[in-house]
Amino acid sequence: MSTLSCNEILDSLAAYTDGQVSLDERVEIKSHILQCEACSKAYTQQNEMKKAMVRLRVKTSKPNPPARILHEARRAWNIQDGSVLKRYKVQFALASAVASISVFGGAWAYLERNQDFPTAQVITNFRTAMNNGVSCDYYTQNADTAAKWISKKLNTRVPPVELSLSGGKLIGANVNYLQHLKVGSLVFKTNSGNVILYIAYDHTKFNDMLHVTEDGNDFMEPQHEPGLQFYGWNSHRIGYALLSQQSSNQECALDAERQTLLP
Amino acid sequence: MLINRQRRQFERLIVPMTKPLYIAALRLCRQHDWAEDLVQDTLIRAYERFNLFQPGTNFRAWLLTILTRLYLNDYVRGKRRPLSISYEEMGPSGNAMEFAAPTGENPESVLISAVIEEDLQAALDSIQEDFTQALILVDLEELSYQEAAEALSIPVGTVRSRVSRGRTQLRQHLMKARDNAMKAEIGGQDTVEHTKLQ
Repeated sequence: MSTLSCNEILDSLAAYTDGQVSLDERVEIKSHILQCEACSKAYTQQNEMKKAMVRLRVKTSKPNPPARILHEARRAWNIQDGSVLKRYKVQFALASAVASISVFGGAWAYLERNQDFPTAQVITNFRTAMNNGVSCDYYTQNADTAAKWISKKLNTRVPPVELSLSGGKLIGANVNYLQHLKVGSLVFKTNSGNVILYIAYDHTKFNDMLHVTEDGNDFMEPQHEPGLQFYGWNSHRIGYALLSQQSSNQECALDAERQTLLP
Repeated sequence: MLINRQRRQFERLIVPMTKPLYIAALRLCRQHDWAEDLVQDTLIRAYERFNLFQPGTNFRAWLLTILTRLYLNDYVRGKRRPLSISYEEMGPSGNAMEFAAPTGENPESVLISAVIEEDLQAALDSIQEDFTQALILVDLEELSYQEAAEALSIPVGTVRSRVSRGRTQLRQHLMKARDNAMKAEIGGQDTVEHTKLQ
């Protein structure tokens, strides 16, 4: 006799009849049925009822559905398609808006970016000028004329700078491309040598080649650059750097900064 | 374009399924109006969820699961209750003579073999509703026990016991109905004889 009780067998008889039991279960139920008269009778009855149900299935498989069911369903599907399409359109519009904002935001950020001042290039340029002798693209002693000339070249407004109070005399102006960046410069002659004020539009950050001096946050000295004084600051989106060979020219730098800070 | 392609694919699958769905709905609801609503809701729901259907699996079983759940939803909420329906309403009537009783069997078996579909349908309508649902899905809609379990949201073991007990109840109901009919017939004959004597 199997380990299953008659009640358990009776509950499994339909699945057994329909061939939807595992092999082990099948063996167990079969052995039980062979030995239990009541379950054997129940199995026969299950079989008969199954056959009767199959006849009922065949007989009741005739009616055709009314055409309106499919017709109405198609109408509902069309509405669904419309709403899905609408949803897609809204999603597309939103995605486009987000993309546009990203593109224009990116472009705006690019235009408004606060980039590094070309410290290394400026130092190299200054050293070259000191070694080869100073020359200017535009010779003038007039600070206003020099400022206008540089403003035109850099497409921005550069204030006039003169160092008469700190002992400097304007020689002229230059505009050079320092690593693809247009940088203006004003060359001054002082008692302790030439100084050059470099002007770079939109490049106002001074990198870690410099360290802040005790004199103030805006004035920095280049590291590992002996015999060179570098004073950097920014004002109105323009980065300025005044380079000289003598530390005594700090006064010139303060003078120049004061003039560039004016509104 | 994506919608059109999906729609075409869906229609290609669903249109041949409308009739089986309608028959299944009629078997469950036993009311034309309800069955039509049920099929329509099933078609709409199926389209909504078509992206959830896994190609290569049984589409008919998937649809019957949706239909059964919608039916149970109506049933459980007490919105509607199935009624009896005659074969004249459902389609061409059955013929008891088509299923002649096999010879050499016990009288009960002869009765079950000879039972006409109207009686069986009536019995199916009369037994416990849980059993009816399981029998419809397994015996009439030919779902596997596993598929029926998913459609009814119950364990497979429960489907097995419901089908077993359902068939037993069905048989008992048929026997009882036949006994009652025989008693009525005998009673009628007695009345006729009594009248003759008078």
